[in-house]
Amino acid sequence: MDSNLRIAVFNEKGIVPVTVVHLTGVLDWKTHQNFEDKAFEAIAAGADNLLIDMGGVDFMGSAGIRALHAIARRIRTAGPGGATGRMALLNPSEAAMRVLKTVGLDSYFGVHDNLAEALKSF
Amino acid sequence: MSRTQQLEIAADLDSLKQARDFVKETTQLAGLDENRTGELLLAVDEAVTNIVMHGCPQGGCTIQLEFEGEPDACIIRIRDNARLFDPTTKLDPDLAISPLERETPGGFGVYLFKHLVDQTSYRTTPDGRNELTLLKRMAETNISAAGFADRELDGE
Repeated sequence: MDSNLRIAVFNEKGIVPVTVVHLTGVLDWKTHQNFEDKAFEAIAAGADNLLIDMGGVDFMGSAGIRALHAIARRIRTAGPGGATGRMALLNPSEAAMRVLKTVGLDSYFGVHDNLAEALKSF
Repeated sequence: MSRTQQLEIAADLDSLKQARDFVKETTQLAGLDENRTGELLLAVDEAVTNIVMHGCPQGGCTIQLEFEGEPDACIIRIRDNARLFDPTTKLDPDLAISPLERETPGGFGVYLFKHLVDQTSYRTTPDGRNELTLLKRMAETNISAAGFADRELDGE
């Protein structure tokens, strides 16, 4: 198991533009800040619909909760004129879903199995 | 007859991967299935993280992990010379509160390790260290009351 987290940010055109943050690797206390920073950069650049692709997360601990919490709170006012932005999760790996379910976060974020369905949700 | 293995690591975030690899290797050799290994691995990661971040933020502490494999369970004992603290007494966060309404997302680390293993126990060792014991059964069972009530988790 690698101890790094690779982060790719790209834009998808759904009904509205959606910024996808694709994570691959380990989301722990060593790497969560990098994830937050990249998501905050995207929000600062104008992203108000954020889809976090968690299919490649090999390991996630409570640091992942902290990061998702921080990003979700930041996106809340990321829309034009401070309007509410939106965030959803795509295809969480078993390791990510284990944490989300154990603390009940899966019921607070929209969780989608595939990209097309996720894009339609925004 | 039980089998034990030990690993000693520095109490810092760079050691988390070593701790996870130790749990993965020892429990898989013992025959714990992949899902339960993932749960125990996460529990140990959170317990070790808690020591690093709250018990010894100044650094310089040492954590000893001990694996004990029994026919019906995998047991991980975590001993450290950080500030004495019993994490099993920490109150759970209120999960009914939306994460978006929380000012801080704290408290989930201890919650995770308490809820991902079948038993937790804590003691201070005779030489003055914290010792947290996490027990994960090899399979779901309904014999907890009869089969594990008398298990001695305090180790040595």
